[in-house]
Amino acid sequence: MDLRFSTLSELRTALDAGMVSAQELAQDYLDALEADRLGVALALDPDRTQEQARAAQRRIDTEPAEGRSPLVGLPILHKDVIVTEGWPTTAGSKILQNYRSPFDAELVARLAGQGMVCLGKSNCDEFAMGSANLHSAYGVCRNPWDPTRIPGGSSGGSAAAVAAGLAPAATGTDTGGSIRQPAAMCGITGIKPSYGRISRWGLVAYASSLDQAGPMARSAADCAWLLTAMAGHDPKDSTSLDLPQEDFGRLLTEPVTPAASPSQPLKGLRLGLPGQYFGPGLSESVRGAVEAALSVLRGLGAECLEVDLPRTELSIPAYYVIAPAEASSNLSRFDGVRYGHRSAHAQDLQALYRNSRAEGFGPEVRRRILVGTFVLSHGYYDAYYLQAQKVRRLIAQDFQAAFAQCDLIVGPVSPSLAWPIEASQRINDPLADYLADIYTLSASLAGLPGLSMPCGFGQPHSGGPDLPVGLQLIGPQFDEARLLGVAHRFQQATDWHRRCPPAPGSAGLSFTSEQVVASPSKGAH
Amino acid sequence: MDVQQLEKLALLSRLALTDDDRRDLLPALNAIVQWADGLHQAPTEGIAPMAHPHDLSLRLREDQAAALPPRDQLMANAPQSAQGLFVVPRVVE
Repeated sequence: MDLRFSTLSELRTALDAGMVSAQELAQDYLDALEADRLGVALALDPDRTQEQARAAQRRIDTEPAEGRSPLVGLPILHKDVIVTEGWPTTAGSKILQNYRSPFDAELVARLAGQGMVCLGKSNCDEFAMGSANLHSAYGVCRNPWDPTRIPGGSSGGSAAAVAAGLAPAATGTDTGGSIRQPAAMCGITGIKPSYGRISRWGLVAYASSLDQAGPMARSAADCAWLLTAMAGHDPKDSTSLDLPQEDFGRLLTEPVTPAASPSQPLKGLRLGLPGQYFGPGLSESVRGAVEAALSVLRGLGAECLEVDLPRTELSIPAYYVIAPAEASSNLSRFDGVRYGHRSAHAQDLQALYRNSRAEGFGPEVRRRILVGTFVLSHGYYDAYYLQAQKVRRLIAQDFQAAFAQCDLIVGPVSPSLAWPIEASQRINDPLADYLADIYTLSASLAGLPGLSMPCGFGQPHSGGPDLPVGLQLIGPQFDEARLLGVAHRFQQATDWHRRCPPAPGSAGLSFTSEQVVASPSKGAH
Repeated sequence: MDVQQLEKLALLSRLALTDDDRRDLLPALNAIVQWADGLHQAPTEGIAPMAHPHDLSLRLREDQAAALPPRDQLMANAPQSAQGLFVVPRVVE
C-alpha cells in the first residue's frame, strides 16, 4: 500500500503503530509536491512543515492515544485564499504576490491546534472566481486523471493534490460550488457545510453571504474528522453560528435512519431527485454514472422520489449578480496602499488606486468587479441586485418545499466531465463557464450543506482517458452528519473513492495493506 | 451598455482601462447583463429580498480590549511606509 493514497485513518494507524513518523510522512508528501508537474501548490516551506511535524511527533510520543485528536501528525494543504501566518497567501492573484498574513485563519489555527501539519498552499482561481482553475495568476493546475484537462475550480489545486496523492487532505472554499465541483472532477470527496458552520475569519472574502470553507479528502469518513475539527462558533466572525459542538462522524457508526439494518443501512431514507438536475443539459457520460450510483443507493435501502426545484436555472443569473456585487465591495480593500501590489506609474491617489488595481487583478476578477458595480449602481440596483435577492428567497423556499417530501436531494455535481484546458483558453467564454455551475449554485444561495463524492467514470466525447464523475448530496441546513453518514454507506458498498489516477512515476513510502490493517487503531474506518 | 457607461463603471470601480479592455469588456459585460435580465421571468411581487442565508441580527459583545498583532507586523505588507504610517502620493497641494 502506497501511503500517499491512504486515507487519514490508515495514516493514523501507521503513525500510531510507529510504522512511519510524522516527519517521514510530511517529508514524503513534500518530496512529491516538489516533484509535482500538475501545478497544485503555490507555496511550500519544508522547514516550517518539518517544525510542525516534529511537534506533532512529540505529541504522538508523549500523549496517551486515548483522548488525543485523531488528526495529530496528519498533513494537510490549505487553499491559497485561506490566510496562514507561516506561508504566503496570494489568493491566486498578482495583487497579493508575496503577501504574508500576520495571523492564521481560524480554521487553520483549529486544525493546527489538533496537531495537523501544514504542507503549504494550494493553487486556486484568483479570489476563488472560477470553475476551472484557469484564472490563477500563477499558472494553470492540471487534472491528474488527464493532465490536458482542468481539475475544476476554484479549489482546483486542493482537489488535484488529494487525487494525485500529493496530500492526504486539503481545505477548500465554496462560494458557488468551488469545493464540490473540483472534488467531482478529480474523483475525491468534499463537503461544503451549511453557511455559518466554519468561521470565515481569515478567508480572503469573495462573496460574504455565500463563502464557506470545508474539507476535501479521500473519503466521507476523512471529511467527517476534518469537519469536526474545523467547525464551531467563532466570535471573530459575526456570521459564525453559535451551535453546539458536533461530532460529524457520528452517523458513520450509528444508524442513518431508524429502519436501517446491516444489509439495508439506508432503509427508510427518502432521496429527492430534482427533474431539473437530469434535464437535456446533462451529458450522457455523467448521467450514466449518476444513475448507476442511484441504483447502488436503492440497493442499500434508500427510496428515490421526484422533487421539483423549479428555479434551478435562475440560480445562475441570481448567483452571477449577487456574488459579483459582494465581490465588488469586498475587493475595494485592494487599493495599493495598505498591502498588495502598488503601481509604479501613479502621480496622484486616483491613478494609484486605478493603476494598482488594473495591474494587479486578472481579467475575470476585473469583469466581476465591473458587473458587481453595475448591478449596485444607481438606476440598476432594484432591477438586478434586489431582484436577484428576491429570486434567492424563492430558491431557498423551493428547497424547503422539497425537504418536506424527502430527507436529502441527490443529483450530479457538474453537467459535464472535466473539460480540456486548451479549448477553454482559446474560446474564453465566461457565460459558458457560468452555465456549468448550474447544479451547485442553488444550494450555495440557500446556505445548505452539499457533499460531492466519486460515483464512477465517464468517457469524454473528445477522447482520452476516462474521467471521474461526482455525485452530489444536498441536505437541509445543519444536516452535515447525515450527508456524511449516507456517503460513508455508499463508499462502504463501492470503491470509486479508492481509485487512483495513473502515477507519474514516483514511488513514495509504502507498506503492505496487511501491515496497516493488522495494526491497532483507535480511529480506523 | 456603451463605452461611456463602461468608463463610468471603471471610475466607480477604481480600475484603469486600456484600449484592449474597452474592446474586450464591452461585449462580455453586455452579454452578462442581458443574460441577468432573465431574472425578471420570476414573479417576485411580495417576496422579501434575501440578503443572507440566516435571518440573523447583529450580535453585540462586551466592549473589551483584545490583543492584535503588533503594528510593525500589520504594516509589514505595506508597499510604502514611513514612521509607522502608510505613504501615498500628495493629496493636498
